Amino acid sequence: MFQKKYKDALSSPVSGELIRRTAAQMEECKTKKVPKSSPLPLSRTLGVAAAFAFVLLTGIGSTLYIQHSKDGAAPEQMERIMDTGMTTAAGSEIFAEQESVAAYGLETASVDDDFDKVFPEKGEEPAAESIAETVLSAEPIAGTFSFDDALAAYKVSDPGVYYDGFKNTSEFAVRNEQEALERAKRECTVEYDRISVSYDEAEDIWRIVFSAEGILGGSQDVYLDSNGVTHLIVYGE
Amino acid sequence: MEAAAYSKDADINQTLEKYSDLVYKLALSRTKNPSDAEDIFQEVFLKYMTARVLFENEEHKKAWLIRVTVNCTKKLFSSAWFRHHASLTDDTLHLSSEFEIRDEEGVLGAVQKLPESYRIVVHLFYYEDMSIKDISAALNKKEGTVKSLLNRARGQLREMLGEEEISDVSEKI
Repeated sequence: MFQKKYKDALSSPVSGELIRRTAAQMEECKTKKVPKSSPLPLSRTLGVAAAFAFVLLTGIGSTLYIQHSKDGAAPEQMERIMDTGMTTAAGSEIFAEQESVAAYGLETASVDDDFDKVFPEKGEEPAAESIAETVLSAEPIAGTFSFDDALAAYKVSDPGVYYDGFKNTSEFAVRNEQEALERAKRECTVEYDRISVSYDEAEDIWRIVFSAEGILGGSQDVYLDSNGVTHLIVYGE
Repeated sequence: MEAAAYSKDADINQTLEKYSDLVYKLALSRTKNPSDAEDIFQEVFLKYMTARVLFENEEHKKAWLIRVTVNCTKKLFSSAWFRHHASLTDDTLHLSSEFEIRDEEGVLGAVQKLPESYRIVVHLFYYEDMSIKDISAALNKKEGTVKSLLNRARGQLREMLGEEEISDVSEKI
């Protein structure tokens, strides 16, 4: 019953105009082959060849190689140039050809590669340990935080465990530990003089622990996601 | 490689036709706003066109489109513009756009009230008929996490819609 009603509510087809407009943009994108991936003109190819030769000779080729690979070049082809000692002119020819190939979407990349490309700030998220060091806590939580482990450990029926009834139910983007902390304070109902913040990157969940020195069982763990929505609160750890 | 290149170039209309519903409605379920969903729809398919991805099969392509849609909406949620305008867009689901929403029973409204992480798994499970395993692969979450999210979403839906309305949900999970 629920599923049928939910599907019915969304049964209207997507606007034909939107599809046509998007198809036109995709066609345009295809014919332009995207500026950053288009084959290089001769003058630029020569320039690239000269630059390429320079960086190879000065020994920082590997740095550029890594950088270029990040930008989408085929690592195998670049590796081949490096390994075989091919001339830089030939190398740049392959380089240009590879750019052309890339424009047709022949590169292989995992979904994860694209995930990082689409949402690069993800890679800038600080590690849980470094967060704990930088945010207040004199006694940071040891070990790696896993939201999955927390879900497994805390059952709905356990005392002091809450999976609903939260204040943070609307979305408010949380992008760093300070924002996570501020958001979690809205849920805090215990006295505290210590705070630690950790982040589970796999599940995109922040854990903020409020506690007070000398008070046993008086802590409160708040788990919230990067949209600022609280998922779990545990008291008395 | 040649065949793959031809495929990527030639299948614009086919891909749009096949996945427009998936991408648009997933974007709508996340943004709750038809205009934002349209923007994300276009962004996703343009990324599809320019991405250097050789899809192994249709499942891979579908999972990729889901991931990119999710990422695009995350980016939208993180944007300064969205953060300053979020309060205005919360209830715009029933406004404007060519896309018609028929929610006489309030089911969609209830789903839209769920936290975002619950909403996406509910949508993929009940609208896209994806298995927990497929959702787990598409969202890069453990199957146990997807089950937990679905169960908690079900609990909140039960509170909003009543036990009777949601009984089939319990059975499916």
